[in-house]
Amino acid sequence: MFAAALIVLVPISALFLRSAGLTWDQFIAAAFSPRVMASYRLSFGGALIAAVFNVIAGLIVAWVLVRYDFPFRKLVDALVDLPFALPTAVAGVALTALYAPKGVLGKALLSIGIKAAFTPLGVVLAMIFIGLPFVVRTVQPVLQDLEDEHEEAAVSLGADRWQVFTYVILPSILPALVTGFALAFARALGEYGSVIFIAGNMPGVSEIAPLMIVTKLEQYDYAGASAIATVMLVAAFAMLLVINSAQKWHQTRLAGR
Amino acid sequence: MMIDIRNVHKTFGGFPALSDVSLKIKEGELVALLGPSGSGKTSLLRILAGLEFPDSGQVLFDGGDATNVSVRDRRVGFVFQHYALFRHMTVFDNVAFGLTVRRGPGRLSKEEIGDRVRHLLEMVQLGGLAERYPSQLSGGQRQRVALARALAIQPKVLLLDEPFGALDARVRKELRRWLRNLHDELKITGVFVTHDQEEALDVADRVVVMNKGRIEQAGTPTQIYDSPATPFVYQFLGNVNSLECHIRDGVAQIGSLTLPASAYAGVQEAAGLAFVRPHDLLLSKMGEGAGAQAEVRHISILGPLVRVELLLGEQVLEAEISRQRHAELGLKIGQQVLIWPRQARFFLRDSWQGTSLLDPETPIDHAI
Amino acid sequence: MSTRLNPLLESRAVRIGLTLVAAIILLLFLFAPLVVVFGEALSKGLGAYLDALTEPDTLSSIWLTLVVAAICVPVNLVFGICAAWCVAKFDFRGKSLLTTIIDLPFSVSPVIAGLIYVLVFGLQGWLGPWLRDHGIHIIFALPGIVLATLFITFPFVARELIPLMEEQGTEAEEAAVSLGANGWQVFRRVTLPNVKWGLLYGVLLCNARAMGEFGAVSVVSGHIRGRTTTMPLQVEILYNEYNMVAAFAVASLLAMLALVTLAVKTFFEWRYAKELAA
Repeated sequence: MFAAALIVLVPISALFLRSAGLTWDQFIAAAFSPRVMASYRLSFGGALIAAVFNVIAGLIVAWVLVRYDFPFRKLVDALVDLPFALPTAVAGVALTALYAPKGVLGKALLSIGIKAAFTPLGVVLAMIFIGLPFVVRTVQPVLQDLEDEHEEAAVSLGADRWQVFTYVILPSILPALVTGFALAFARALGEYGSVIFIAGNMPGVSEIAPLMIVTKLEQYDYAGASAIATVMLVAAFAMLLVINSAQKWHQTRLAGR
Repeated sequence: MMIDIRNVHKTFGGFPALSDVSLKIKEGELVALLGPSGSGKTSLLRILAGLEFPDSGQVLFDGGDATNVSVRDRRVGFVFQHYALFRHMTVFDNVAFGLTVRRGPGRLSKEEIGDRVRHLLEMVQLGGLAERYPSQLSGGQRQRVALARALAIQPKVLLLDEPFGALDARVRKELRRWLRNLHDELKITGVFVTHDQEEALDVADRVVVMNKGRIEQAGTPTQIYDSPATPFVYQFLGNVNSLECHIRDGVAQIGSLTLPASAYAGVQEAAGLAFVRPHDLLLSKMGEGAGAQAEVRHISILGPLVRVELLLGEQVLEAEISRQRHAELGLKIGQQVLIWPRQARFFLRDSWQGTSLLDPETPIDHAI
Repeated sequence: MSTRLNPLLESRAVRIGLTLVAAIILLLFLFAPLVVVFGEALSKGLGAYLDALTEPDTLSSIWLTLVVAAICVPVNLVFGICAAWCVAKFDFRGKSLLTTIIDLPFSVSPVIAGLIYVLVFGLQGWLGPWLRDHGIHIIFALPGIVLATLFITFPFVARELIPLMEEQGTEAEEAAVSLGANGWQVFRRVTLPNVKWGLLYGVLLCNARAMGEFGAVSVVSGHIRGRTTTMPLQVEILYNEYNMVAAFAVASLLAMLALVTLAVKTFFEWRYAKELAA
């Protein structure tokens, strides 16, 4: 898988560079200008914060969906997939309307002094929206398949509920959490539609990296766009690696009962 | 520890898993709960462990009510059917788990935990495997890790759910001996669940046969095997011929075979079942003894034994005789022989369920 | 059952707390945006809503979206089945390469996917000058939108089918061949019925994404009003013009598409579970 990713992604990167015909210095200048660097910081930082939030939130949601019974559980379960099915532009305008200063939640946040829309916080909110189902849907089946026996064994040996969670449950679902994290992170990193509306796109403040690619393209700066895209691709490739090794780790774990 | 189970009832979604189960287990006793799947034996074990709770009834540990004590505080060693070893922990960490999670005054230092774990691993003959992961062990080794883990918390009672169910036949036999020896050494009260009668009779001090959420019979292996209290126990404990019969005035009629059934002297006319173990069925040549005439249908030689399939009227039955006896009789398929049960047991058709059929203390014997 | 004593259940307070946290998360991040879409769309009444939807540019964007989906879904259905069949049923060199290529659109930013097409077919791209000389328009025209959408939606069918086909094994198919079925008969009568629900769900997701793709299409479309704007692009244009009712009216159509997708998906899962149970 690793070799294959290398074979696929390297030519694509090469395609970018060759078509753009950049020298190394030109590449550095295009891909790492201050404005672009700021967009990386926002994209990577925002994606990281959103993914970490989603790991916790997604675990709680998956836990509640799998282990507890409450009214409309099936409906809520189906709704979790909404960010998969809802077109990103729709999510973008809806989140903006919601968190804008005049929006229902935006107004509430503003009253406690937090400005959400058109700030990095808004970017993170959109990234959380888009990444949440990835964590829920990778953790949920693993949580479902956990055998009661292991937890019962732990309790019979005197562990309390929190010890059962940290010693027995968490290690079992950790690979799934890592996979979910990587998926949510990768998606948030590349996400465009749901983020650009709420971001406000202020240069150096709330511009995300994919937007920089679009901006360069609109200025017919194909070389600059390609350079940024190359950096993003390498990041995506690294994420792919993490996902694959997490899955392999997961499988070897499950191999022995 | 002494365990007293009093009138325990338990239902799962309307299905009665246990109905009115009472049982006393003596200090240091090793008891087998024997029965088919769905007989309630596992539910009873889990109630003893505190993993399930009875709808009504009581569980007393050493006279104190433990019915509502949680599994955490019960201090029972539970060995799960599939061992439930923690896959991400080494053998050492698995065994140490119960000591590691302990809080409060009973907490041991790292050194004390290490000493105890190493001692336990020596005892279960896994001294060299402490740093292995469960996936690197054989089935029998995993079983012993599970046992060591359960023993680490110094439980007052050891509970084992189908302890040998997942092992192959050879390992199973070995481990059986070993468990028995371990129990004799530690003298801990033990209860294990099994559906294998041989296992129960071989290992346990006392066998409790369960069926449909009730106890059919409890007794020593000899009592259970030699004087089964109910048709169910008869049929469940290995090979037995069950034959349709008629009982009238203390006499049972099986085809052309007439046997005394003194326990039913007062019975006017009733349909019943007769149970005869294959090794209790004596064969002789025509004209050389008492008995009913039967036809030899099939002969199979099983090592030292010969199994003979016979036709008595319209009923098929099996007899087990020695190779020597087989040679003396010179049996051939189609041959007519005389059969006579050394021992038989009768139950009336009408009142099959429960243990009230027949006084178990008075089995009906016939000698030639 | 006395839940109080269930050793595998958290205390009541913890359970209520966790459920509340989950409810708040889902409410804020999933439910609220959905409600807002319909709320904003209908904020000026049903008349304004319908007027917004029947505006000519909007109608043409709906039409374009339908055309794109009508091309992409069948093409990717065939591609997806072929790719899944190859990956699940055969072992060959470069198999992992194929699975990586299938996964690639999931891990690559849609903007980059669009960029690849611009670099290949655009005026400054490899084939650009040749295409211009022959009067073929790909970028900033329907073919570009279709290509970008094809790329983005490629994995959906294959991704749904591969695990199902792998799980199914080859035994039933070998049995069919031994009974004299030819390749097509085996596929139609043995393979397909077994993966039916997965296939339908894959098609459904593929369709939802084909109609809703924004980033990749945005890069290649050129945003020519009434000609190369799909519905998501139309939402953006109207939104940027502060025509909120119209933007959310179009968005509400797409949201309904998403809801229908989820409803049908749930139905499929229910049917599939029933079939497995039978």
